[in-house]
Amino acid sequence: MKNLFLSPEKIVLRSYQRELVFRAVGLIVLVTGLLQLPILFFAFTTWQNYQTLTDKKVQLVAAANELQTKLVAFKDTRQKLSQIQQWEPIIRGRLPCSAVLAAIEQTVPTDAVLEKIGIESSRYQALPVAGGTYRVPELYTLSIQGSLKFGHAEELEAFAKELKKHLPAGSQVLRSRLLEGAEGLVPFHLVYSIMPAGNYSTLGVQRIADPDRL
Amino acid sequence: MHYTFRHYLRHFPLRYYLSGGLFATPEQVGVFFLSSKTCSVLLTRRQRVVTFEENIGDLPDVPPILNRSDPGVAGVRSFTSKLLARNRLRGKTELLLLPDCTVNDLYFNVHLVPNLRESTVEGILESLAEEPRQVIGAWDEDRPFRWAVLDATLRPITGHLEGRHSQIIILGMPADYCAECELWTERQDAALLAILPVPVACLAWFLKRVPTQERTAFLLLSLTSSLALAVIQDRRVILFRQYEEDIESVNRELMSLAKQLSPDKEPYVCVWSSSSEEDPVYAEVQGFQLTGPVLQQIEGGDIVIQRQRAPNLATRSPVALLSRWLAQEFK
Repeated sequence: MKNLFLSPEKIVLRSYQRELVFRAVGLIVLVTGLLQLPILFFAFTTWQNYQTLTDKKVQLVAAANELQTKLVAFKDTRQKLSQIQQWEPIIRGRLPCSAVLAAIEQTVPTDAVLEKIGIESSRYQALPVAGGTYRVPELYTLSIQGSLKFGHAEELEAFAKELKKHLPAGSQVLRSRLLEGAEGLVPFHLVYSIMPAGNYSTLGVQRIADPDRL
Repeated sequence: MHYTFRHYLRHFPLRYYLSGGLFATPEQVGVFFLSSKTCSVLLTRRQRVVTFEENIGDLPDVPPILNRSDPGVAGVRSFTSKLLARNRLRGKTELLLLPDCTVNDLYFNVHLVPNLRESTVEGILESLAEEPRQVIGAWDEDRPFRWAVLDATLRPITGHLEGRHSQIIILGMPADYCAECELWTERQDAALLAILPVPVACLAWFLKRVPTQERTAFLLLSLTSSLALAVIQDRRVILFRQYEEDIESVNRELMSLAKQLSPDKEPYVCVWSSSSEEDPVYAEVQGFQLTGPVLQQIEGGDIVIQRQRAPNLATRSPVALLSRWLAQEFK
């Protein structure tokens, strides 16, 4: 008379609770569920990471878009800067002649008389800039002619060395020669090749500020 | 009953399993005797009676009682949890409810199988659910009923009847009351074993425990608001009637039935009463009184309840003995 006057639904539900078969199945279900927990945990954390990265990506894309929008306003400035940058090798290739003359003045021996100083440019490079093509020299030749008092001919070498120290790095002495002279004077001829490198600190040209990185 | 894995998963008793039900089986059985006059509960644990409490009808959260005017007071804690706590018990409990029904609240009749239109138990139950008049003829009850079909020895049956059973018992109880009992049991966090009307429980006990030999036995049940008479032949119930009338008229009908069914021998009449006190039925009906020492002899002694820090308690109350037998049978 078990289950007398009980509804079939209640009988079934009670069977799920009490009967050994269902409890065994329940145990299997619970154990299987427990085994899934680590997988679910890792899946959850992976999904969470993916969500975080996606959110970050969306934020970065938005920020990039915003920056792109801001950059549109600077289009003209960028274009002008680009044109200025084209002038950089032209400016770098210029030689401060006054500084070269000052260096000669400072190093010339007291027993020497200078007759001729020549600065010539050569090996031109054609650089296109806005409005045309500019010819930029890659090499300068400094030529000095003068005379030393008789008995002071050895000062030529010291003069040549001292002047070389003042010239930009990479400058070379092409010629240093004493010529035959008369009346107690020994003529000499000095020739330097100067490579314009943009750094003329040895010539005493000081930087006003850090170079513009643009 | 159809079990499917999907249904099982949908109603997966996770809370029950996690609260220990996966490995432990309920060890306690509570049998509630529920009548409008007196209610009692007998609690057993591992076949041993732990307590028998009477007059529980006015306590909070008692089980539903048929024809009770006041619905009872709901407590903060459930009745069963308090009952277990009083007796220092824990765990899941199975409950058995024995409602003492009035004549209107219980349909109990023996039917001859050839007189039935349906040939299967399932067909009978379906017809009863649709329209009881299709099976039992006269039926003027408006309330929906739950139905059950048993064989003459009070065992549940299924399938075809012809050739296997000559007569069957059809039982019916108000569906509302049954649903109320199920709801109450759910609140108690317990399992309901059955809702067993007192006459059915008494008859089942009588068939199992009282030797009748080959005689036709007449069992008169003195219930709270009615008298019930069952006739047993060859350990089969062949007739059952419930009366609201006084004992004299029932006694007269008993004598007339005895002359019809057992004309040659002295009728073997047994009387069972739910009342522990001297029931007037015992004086009115000449028969074998299933009470006191007789019950003690049938049940092999009184119920002895061992109590901590108190002397043991013995009872031979018919309700207690019936409840104990049922608890053992249903476990």
